[in-house]
Amino acid sequence: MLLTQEKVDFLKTISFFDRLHERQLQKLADICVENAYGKGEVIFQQGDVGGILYIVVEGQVLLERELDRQEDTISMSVVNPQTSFGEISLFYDAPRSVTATAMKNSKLLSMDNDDFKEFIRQYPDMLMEINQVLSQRLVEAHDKISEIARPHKPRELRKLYEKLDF
Amino acid sequence: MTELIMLHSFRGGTGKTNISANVGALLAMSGLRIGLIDTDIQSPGIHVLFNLDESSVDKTLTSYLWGESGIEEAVIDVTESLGDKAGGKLFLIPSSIKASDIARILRNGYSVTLLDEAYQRVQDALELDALIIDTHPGLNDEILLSMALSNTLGIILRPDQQDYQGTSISMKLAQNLEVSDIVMIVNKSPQLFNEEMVKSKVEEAYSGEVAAVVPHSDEMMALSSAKLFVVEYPDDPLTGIFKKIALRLMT
Ligand SMILES: Nc1ncnc2c1ncn2[C@@H]1O[C@H](COP(=O)(O)OP(=O)(O)OP(=O)(O)O)[C@@H](O)[C@H]1O
Ligand SMILES: [Mg+2]
Repeated sequence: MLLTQEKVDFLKTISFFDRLHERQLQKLADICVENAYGKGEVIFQQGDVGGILYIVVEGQVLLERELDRQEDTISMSVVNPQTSFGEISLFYDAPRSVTATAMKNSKLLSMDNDDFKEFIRQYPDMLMEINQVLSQRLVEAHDKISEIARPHKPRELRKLYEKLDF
Repeated sequence: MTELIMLHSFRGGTGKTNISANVGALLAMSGLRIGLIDTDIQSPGIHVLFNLDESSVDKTLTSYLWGESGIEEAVIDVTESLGDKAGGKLFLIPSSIKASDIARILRNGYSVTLLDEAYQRVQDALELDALIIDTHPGLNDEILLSMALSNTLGIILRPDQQDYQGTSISMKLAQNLEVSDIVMIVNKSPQLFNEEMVKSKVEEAYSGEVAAVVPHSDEMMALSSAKLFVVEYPDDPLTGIFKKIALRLMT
């Protein structure tokens, strides 16, 4: 178990919170719950109700998107320590868009959205930081889309294949 | 300018590899600088005719395609295998024969357009008169790209109904890719077939040129791809036919 001070020290290293003072961080630490997941354990499933934001303290978490009518998934990202996930549910009340699974034995901090929002109301400056992270996620999603949509043959070759379309 | 010569067949086992190696050997013996490149990366074989195995091959076309080596590093000078008769030079660029390398390239793929660069580089670096491309049968990315790049295409077929059908597909591919010079080579023709008749029949069926009809040869078969026929049997009539093919492919 992490002591409150240890939580504070960890939270300081997260870009979300790097403008907060010691006292604010302590308040934040009070609403953080520590969770442990074994390797392979599912943290949440795509389609579940959201409402909690997670930060990886130790270990690694895989975010996967399940494809319709297929036993197949696309891995969206691997979340490493000091990085958050599940933050979309903070402002957007929709089911989880991905499944999160611990790839290693992992230690996470979780925050209930209502508690966290209450905290943000007291320190609205934090919204800028959170916005930045959400925008970053959007860019990452765009990268992912272009990676998946990338034609698997180079253009020169595709042109040649088109010539064979007799 | 370097001739880029590709030998291809739609079906397997027609003799692409043996003809590539023997034609290359004859051209090198006649004083030219010749390269042989094995683009059959999923089932390479031409190195066998030069007595090379896994232990004697280090860098390959495969390692070049992964960016792990330059293509020049994969070149092996095999002129010695022509005996003392070589007036020119014969170079081999093999593909990797390690099972793990083959599995890796099939699984992960590679940027096929690197082949174009490989051809250019070896032609320039080795100052080749001709680069002969040995391929996998059928159609795949390497074959398509190589066909589009080559000046001369030799389509090899056996007098066999399945090969006939395959040849019409190869012909169509080559015509659509605008290969400037296309010839057919009939190989493994049974001794009891009349060669002239086979030639005119095939020429008529595909309205194309047959460079030669190579009879089935027990000696060739007995060599079992372990040696170069034209080196072992310089005076055999079959060697004469290979010379005719070599000459035709160079013009
Ligand atoms: N004219 C011939 N007479 C007898 N045997 C021959 C003749 N030409 C080739 N062969 C034999 O046929 C076999 C296949 O030849 P080779 O490997 O050159 O064909 P290939 O077209 O390269 O095959 P693949 O499609 O598998 O690459 C070899 O055993 C070779 O010795
Ligand atoms: Mg072959």
